[in-house]
Amino acid sequence: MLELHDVEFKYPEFTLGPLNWSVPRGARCALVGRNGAGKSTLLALLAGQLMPDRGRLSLFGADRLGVDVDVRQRVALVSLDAIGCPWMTVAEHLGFVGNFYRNWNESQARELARALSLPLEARLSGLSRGTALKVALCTAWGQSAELLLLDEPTAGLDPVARHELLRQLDAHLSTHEELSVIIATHILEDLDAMHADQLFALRDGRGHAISVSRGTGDPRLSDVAREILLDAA
Amino acid sequence: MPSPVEFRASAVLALARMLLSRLRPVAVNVAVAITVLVALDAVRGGVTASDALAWALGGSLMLPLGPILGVVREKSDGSLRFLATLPISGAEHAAARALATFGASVPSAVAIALLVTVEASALPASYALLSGVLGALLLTGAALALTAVQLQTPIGRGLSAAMLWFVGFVVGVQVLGAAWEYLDLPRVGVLLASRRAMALISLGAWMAAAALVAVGMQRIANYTPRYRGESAAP
Repeated sequence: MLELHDVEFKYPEFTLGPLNWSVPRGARCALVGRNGAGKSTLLALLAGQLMPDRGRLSLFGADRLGVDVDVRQRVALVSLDAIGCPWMTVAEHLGFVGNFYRNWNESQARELARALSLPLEARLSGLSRGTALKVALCTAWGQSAELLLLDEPTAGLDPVARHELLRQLDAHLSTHEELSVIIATHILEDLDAMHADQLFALRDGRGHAISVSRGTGDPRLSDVAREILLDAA
Repeated sequence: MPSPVEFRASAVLALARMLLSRLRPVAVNVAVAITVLVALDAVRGGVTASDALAWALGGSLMLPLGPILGVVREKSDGSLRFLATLPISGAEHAAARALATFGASVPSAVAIALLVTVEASALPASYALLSGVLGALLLTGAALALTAVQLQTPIGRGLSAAMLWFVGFVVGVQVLGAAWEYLDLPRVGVLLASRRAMALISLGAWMAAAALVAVGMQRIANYTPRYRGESAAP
């Protein structure tokens, strides 16, 4: 589903890559790394917002993500930086976004909104961080995306909201086995809660992919990730 | 189920409608301000169609500030970052902005066309209509070009470009006024009356409008889908 071959992206003082990574359909992947390691850049590359300077990035068999609108239809980036237009209400936002996705499923989006107790008449500008993230998730649900890119989805959430969000995410992934998810987070316990089966650790711009089995007795993914991060420090 | 072309067209129209709803207050404010100024002029001792036309032309030149300030607002509140994630191509995004900007300039263009009809009643109505369309296209082109500059530059520099536009407009009017006096109006009038000069001026204006629209749309199309915020970091 996702293939990275020697992908590089250059900032003036930082180079991400070369990265090599392969993600099969239905995988639950965790993306970890310290601040500035390149997690958001990698997600932006996968969402088609940035083009690699070198290498080949292929998603659903398409190479040129940035200009391939059809690929963008199938990818949902859930990030606090791109929730919506703040002057719209949640209901208006869901109606507006529906104009852009061919497989838009409004009832699916509203169903999650109900489950998460989202206030449909509230303006996006007045929402708390956690509620705004719920809106982004509802948008991704309605989009019927095949790849979910979650950028720090639980950062800043209170424990109850975090638990509920992860529970909904896990339930949705369980009923949509073809849906793949890549979650970038600093809260390592989230990786266990969503039963991630692959870890991609970014260190000094380089990536290391580690597959993790879900059997009992195996180390928890959060422990593996913590070990890698401490090792990098 | 709509065809892919119908679906893409409806997406562009949805974005254009949303952008136009944000531009409308600026266009309405400009229209209200001009109406008040013309009314004040009328109360002071009569206002001719040519005075009103001058006000309409001058006021319409303020319209490109709407899209520029709109982009500043989109950058500040994060909506541009969101719009950049939508599954539409750069060309579609540029088309939506062009439609919205054109829509916002239509009321001014209609006013100009009507006033041209009153001022130059000897001219056929088609001239007035064409002058209205040309006016709207020129305004759209100027607004799109300035929007492209605003999109590609940090907020502060974009605002400076808007201020330069405003100052340039005021200075330009002064320079044109002085040149008008210096060149002796009747002679210019005779020149304008000649069919060849009119044709050349019209052709130049249409080409300028087309070039501004094309360049503005191309720059917007290239830049918007990759926008990731003012301080995108790894």
